[in-house]
Amino acid sequence: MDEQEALTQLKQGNINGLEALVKLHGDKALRTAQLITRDSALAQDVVQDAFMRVFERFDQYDTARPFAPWFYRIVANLSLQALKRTQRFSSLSPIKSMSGRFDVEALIEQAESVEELEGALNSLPPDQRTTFVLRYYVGLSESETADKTYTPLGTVKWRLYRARERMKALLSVHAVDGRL
Amino acid sequence: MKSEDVQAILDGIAARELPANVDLWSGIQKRLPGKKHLKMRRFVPRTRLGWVAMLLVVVLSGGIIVYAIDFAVRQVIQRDPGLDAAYLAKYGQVVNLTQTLGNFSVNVQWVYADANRLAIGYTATVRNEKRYNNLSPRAALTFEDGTVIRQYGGYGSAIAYTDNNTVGTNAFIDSFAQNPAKPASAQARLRFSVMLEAIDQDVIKANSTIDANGNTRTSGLIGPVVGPFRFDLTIGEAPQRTVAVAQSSEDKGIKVTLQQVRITPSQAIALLCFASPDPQIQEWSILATIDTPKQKVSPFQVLQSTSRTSTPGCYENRFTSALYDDLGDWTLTVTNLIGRYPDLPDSDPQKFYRVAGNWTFKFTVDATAKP
Repeated sequence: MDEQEALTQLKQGNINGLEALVKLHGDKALRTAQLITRDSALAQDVVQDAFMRVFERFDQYDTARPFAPWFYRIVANLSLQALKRTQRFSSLSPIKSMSGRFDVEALIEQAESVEELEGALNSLPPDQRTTFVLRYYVGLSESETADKTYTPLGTVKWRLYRARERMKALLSVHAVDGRL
Repeated sequence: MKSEDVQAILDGIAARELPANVDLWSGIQKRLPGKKHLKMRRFVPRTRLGWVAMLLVVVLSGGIIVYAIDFAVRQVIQRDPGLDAAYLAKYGQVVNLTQTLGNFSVNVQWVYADANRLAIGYTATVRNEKRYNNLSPRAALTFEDGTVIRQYGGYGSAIAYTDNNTVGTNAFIDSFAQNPAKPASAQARLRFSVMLEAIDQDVIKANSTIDANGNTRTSGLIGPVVGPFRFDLTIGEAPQRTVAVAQSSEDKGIKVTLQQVRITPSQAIALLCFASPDPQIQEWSILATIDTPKQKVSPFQVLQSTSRTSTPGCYENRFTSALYDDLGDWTLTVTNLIGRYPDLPDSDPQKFYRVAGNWTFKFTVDATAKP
């Protein structure tokens, strides 16, 4: 069953439509939630909540618009809310201010291992991490990201700038034997 | 690097951290209204053979329960693919050892040893105290003669509060580099000790200052420290395969020699040697890929770490993958040598010296490969 058929069935109240959407988007939604929450149990709860919300509030979805951006907005917002509820401890490492133009792809290329990337991702404050994941993993544009998170475009740009800057600073600090 | 590559790397990070085959739909089904239409079929045996089959399932399930550990510890083990494979193959030992000091306790649940590493899975718990932000462990592992075993990595979970917020628990899996000076016995007798630091945002705030750039700097304690919690353990060692490769490959004017590869259920270690192209640099990280008949292991798919050995110019490169059952022809390719100038701060871009190249080694791993 493709997405359009699944949406049509769901609109008719057919639960098979929801199951098809879980098959189509479950894995990516789970990984999106994992990248934001950094907690696999929490990510699974969040994604189940997100699909339940799709089911319960499907009447709020404008079927003329693409499903994915609407759905991943739900996943991102629920992830952020869950993260705030659990009050996860975030890094207290002082980050040096950096200057100069750079792009995130170059930063990731500069990283020596997944460990460094993971560490950098973990250290981002939740709101910056959410914006970063929506932009670079889900693939939304800056304006879509702003729309999907109910955040002004300027704030999104600022968070992305801060996220990239923070990742740059962290990825420039290499450790041979870090905590894996 | 293309944006699709960035997406693939992030995808890899998330995939590695998540358990395999998560069944989202079952959980959703249970929460759907009218679930009576969706409930699972119950199995009621109708023949004698059916009852025997059901009894067998019950017995087998009992076996699984015996090997069970807390879900939180299981989750942190799952973040390390090699350790996860070792756990599933039941190479480690499930234990249940608890020490309590005041309102804090540590419970060791799973211990594992092979020729490459030792690992301890445990929880830290605080009861009826104020609500801390996390319990941060400082763990130490020694052989019974006091020889220290270096910790090189680990994973931890965020604190989870239960029982009306009166009990907070963190789960950890700590990995220690197997010590070449380990006793010859296959049963290693070890002492594991843990100090817990309860992270308290109020204490952190009291010890923090804002510098001229607006950055927060914290010094001193970040919360009360409790311990040590001590455990004496005896761990049987999982098997290993060691392939003496002794091949050299040259690129960019650097000759790299792969001396051997030691493969255990939890990881593989390649022993690589080369003369530093700049005498000032003696500290290197090595990025490499491994191709086996079953899988390709690249730096972006699996964690790698490099550590110096006691032989100058030789390094151990760890691949935290499940490679023990991958028999046949392997190719190990070193793609990057990254050196660090010792006198420069980490923040200085000039600190790092990267040599990208292609140093390739081909060898065969068979079931009889022995140390």
